[in-house]
Formats: sequence, structure tokens, C-alpha cells
Amino acid sequence: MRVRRIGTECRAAEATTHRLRGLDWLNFLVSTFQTGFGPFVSVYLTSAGWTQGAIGAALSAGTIASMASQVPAGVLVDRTRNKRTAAAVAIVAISASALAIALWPNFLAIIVAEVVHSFASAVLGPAIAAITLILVDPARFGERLGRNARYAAIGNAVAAGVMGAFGYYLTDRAVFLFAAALGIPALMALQTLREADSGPLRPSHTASTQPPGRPCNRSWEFLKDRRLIAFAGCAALFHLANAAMLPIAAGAVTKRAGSEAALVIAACIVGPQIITALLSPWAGRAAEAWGRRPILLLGFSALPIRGILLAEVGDPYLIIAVQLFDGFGAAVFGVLFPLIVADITRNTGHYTTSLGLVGLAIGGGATLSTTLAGLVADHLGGSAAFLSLAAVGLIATVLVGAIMPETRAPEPG
Amino acid sequence: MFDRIGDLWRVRADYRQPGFAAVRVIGCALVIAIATAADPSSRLAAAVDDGAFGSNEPPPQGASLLQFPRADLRRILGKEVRSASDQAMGRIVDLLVDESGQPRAAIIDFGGFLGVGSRKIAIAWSTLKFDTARPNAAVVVALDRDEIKAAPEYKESRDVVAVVTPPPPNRRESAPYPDW
Repeated sequence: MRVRRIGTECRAAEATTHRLRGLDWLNFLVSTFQTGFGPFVSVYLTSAGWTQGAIGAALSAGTIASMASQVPAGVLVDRTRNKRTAAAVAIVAISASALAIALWPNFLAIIVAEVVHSFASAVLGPAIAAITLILVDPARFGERLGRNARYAAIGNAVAAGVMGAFGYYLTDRAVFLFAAALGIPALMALQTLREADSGPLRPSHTASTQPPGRPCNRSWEFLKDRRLIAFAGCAALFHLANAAMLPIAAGAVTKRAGSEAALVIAACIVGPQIITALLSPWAGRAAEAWGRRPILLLGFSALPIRGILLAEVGDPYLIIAVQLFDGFGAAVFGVLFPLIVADITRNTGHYTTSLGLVGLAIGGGATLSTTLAGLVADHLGGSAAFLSLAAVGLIATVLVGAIMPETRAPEPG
Repeated sequence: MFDRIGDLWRVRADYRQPGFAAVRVIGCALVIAIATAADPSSRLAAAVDDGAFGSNEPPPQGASLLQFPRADLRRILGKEVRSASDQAMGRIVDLLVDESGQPRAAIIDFGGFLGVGSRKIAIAWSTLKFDTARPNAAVVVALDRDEIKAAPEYKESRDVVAVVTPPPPNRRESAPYPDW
């Protein structure tokens, strides 16, 4: 019975999602140009002759700005009536910072570019989630988020390949020029989503339904929602366990593999993205059909398994296989993060503010993760670091089981 | 950087008249933009050294300027390192000198993909060979990837610095590294 119903929903959804090709492209392009701003910045600045201290300072400025931006940017998007404009400004700002990084690798310009990029990213993610929410029927939101996550993962995978090729055949600078240029097609994709500014949102939507004069409900009562606090805690622990696994595993690959190390690490990065692209739509549909809790538990449980396997496995090629669990966790988290927050903030007008709050928790968890796991790896070795991360992942999974309630709205009738 | 700008202010004294205030601000902004956009060995630095900005007196206290052809001196931070068989080894990110100031080791950022999974490894300065003809060419190191991949990572906080040094010519098998 149930299975057949999901099948029909699928076919019906085909029709409604078809007109949202622009949203597919937007997710693809945004994640493609965002990939360049990761650890690659440090490679680029090294080749520009920067000292390690200066690189560390620039990257820390970016991290701090990113954490400080999450909530203000979320509030900003909530209070902006036209989410599409907010997204467009953010894309322009990110392109400008990519261009600045490519053209002026001096301290002031890079710091400014990192800070601008951090704030713009904190606007762009929630703005795309809000646009998605406006464009699709609430019953199809999970499914559409699955599609968003699929195209974002394809973008990440393609970007890793393209950047690798650029870095190899051209210059490191070309990567940032390429990222800046991608802003133009991203704006074009955004342009096709005109229905997103069609004014007052449907009452069933979570975003504000207040008249234009008062753009937002100023009450902060929603902060007391225990589901939001529980989810933020689980999300922070998820990233505390997750963020350091790839860097430490990749370091182990460099240590053990010979000349093929770079290709093995590339596979450790791209492999999980392919899994994410394959599984995200399923995660979205399953979360609508079975509820958020079981899928969330399933996704979180991939973390301790991956940590334990990474602690045991030494062969570089087996590490690639273990890394595929990362794709599973990322698919579930990437879809359920915007979905659960949407469930919780239904009709409060605080959707993107809450995304920002959880984003802050995620940023804190991820930053602590690399620091703490790095310390453990230095003093006790890589296996101990993976086991500690696995333990945190296990705690996160148990916490989801213990305190995270089902947030899916009860079916009418 | 900032004292260079300070010099400019003194030299361009004519800009200090009130009417030039706006021009001065814009001009300085432009100069800063150009100076920071260019390489550290920028046109601005060259101009100051040539005395083009007005100081023709010899520098005080007997210091003098030595001039080298560009090809004789090279920058070292960020320089690419390749093995003799032309494998990419990484880039030089720091130097270690001994108490007499002689370079003993170069720290290279080894391996990784797009900045993920790279390791900082100290390699003996004596293994580096510089291309005398082309100052911008990569430095060639007399070690290959397999010889340095498992070396302990360089850490500021450690009491012992392990520097990868090539084995004596008669035995070429690599010694096992401690698992730090």
C-alpha cells in the first residue's frame, strides 16, 4: 500500500519539479563555485609566497566571520521580502571575492574577500532553502530538497575534477577566475525562478505571512522550541564527529600511498559526492514517507561505523570504500537539515534565522572537530583520532534517538 | 609597506596644499592599490631604491646598496619542489636555519589533493638543487616521493625536528620511520 503511494507521488512530482530546472542549475553552480573556497585557498596562497602564519590568519578570519555571520544573515533573509534579490546579491559578492582572491593575493584583499565570502555564503544557503520553500508545495518540500542536494553534490564532484585539472594544467589562479565566472550562469539560473517573488507566501509555508509594512515577527519565542535546540545539538555533534575524518584519512593516504596518493584522495572526495547525488532524492522521499526520525538515525549511524572502519583500515584503496559512508551521511544530513528546521519553524516567520542558528552550531562543531582530532592524532596517533570521532558519532546517534522527536506534520485526515 | 607610503607623503610635499587634499587622497589610494596589487618586488620599491623620489644623498652610517641581477637571487617561499624524475613534491612553506644562520632544512607542503591531506615535511637543505639558468624554475630535490611520504610531520611544538636526508650512496633502501 505504502510503497505504491510513494510511487504515485513520485510520478506526480515529476511534473511539478520539471519546471524547476533553474533550481537544479542554481544548486549545481553554487556548490561548484563554493568548492574553490575550501582548503584550496591555502594551496593558492602558499604558491603566492605567503607565510604559513599569514595563511592561518586569513583562514581564521574567514572561519570567525562565517560563525559570526550565520545568525545575522539568517535574520536578514527572514526579513527580506524578496529572497531572490538576497540570493543574487550574495552570488555577486561571492564572485567578487573570488575575483579579488585571483587578482590581488595581498593580505588586506584576501582578508576582506574571506570575510565578504563568509557573510555572502551565510546568506546564500538559507536564501536558496527559502526560495525552494516558496516554490514547492509543502508536501513536496522534502523531495525537492533531495533534488537540491543531488545537484549540489554533482556540483562538488565536478568542481573537484575541474579544479584538479586547472591546478595541474593551468595555474592555481585560474580556479578562482573560473569560480568568479560561474556567478554569471548562477544569476541566470536564479533569474528563471521568478515565481519565488510572487509576493505573500502561502499560509501553509513556514516563512512570514505578515503584511509588507511589518516584514517579520519580532518575537524570539521560537528559540525556546526544544526541538530546535535538540536538533542544533545533534547537528553540532554530527559535524564534530564528521569534519575531521576526511582530512585525517587523506593525510594517512599521503603517508601510505606513493605517486598515486593525489588520485586516491581525489577519489575520497569525489566518491562520497556520487553517493550523495544518488541517495539524496531517496532521503527526501523517505523522510516524507516514513518520517524524519528513522532517516536521521540511519544517516547518523553511518558516522560511528565510518570512524571505526577508518581506524582499522590501512590500505589506501579500502579507505576510498570506507569514505563512501560519508556520502550516505551527507545525503541524509543535507536533506534533513533544511527539512527539519522547516518543520519546526512552520508559520513562525523564522525559517532562515533558525537555519542560521543550526548553521552556527554546525560551524562550531566542525571547527572544534579538526582542532581536537588533530590534537588526538598528534599525541595518540591516527587510529585513536578516528576512534574518538567514532565515539562522538555514536553519542550523536544515541542523542538523536533519545531527544530528537519526529517533526513531520501529522497527515491531514 | 606603510613606511614606503610614509615616504611618498614626504616626497610629494606639493600635494599638501589645501586644494590638493582630495587629489592626494585619491592619489594615495591609487598608489596603495597599485603597490599592493603588484609583486613585493614592485615598481614602487624600485623607484624608491633608485632615488627617483628625491633622495640623492647617500644612506647614513655607511650602509651601501648592493645590486644583483634578477637571475642571481630568487624567492623561496611558495617555490615548487620536484623530484629528479619530475614528480611534483610540493611547495616550500618555510625554512629552518641553524645557530649560525645557515639553512639546514626546507619545510615542504607535501602531497594532498586541492589542499586536502597534505603533510608538512622537513627535507635537508643539501638535497635541494637550484636551476642556475632559470630562477623561476622548480627546485629539484634528490629524493623521491616514496622516500619522504612517511616521514614524521613537521610540528612547531616538538622538541626534535626530523629532517629527511638522503641515504649514503652505497645503501639506498629507506630506513623505517618512527610512527609519530
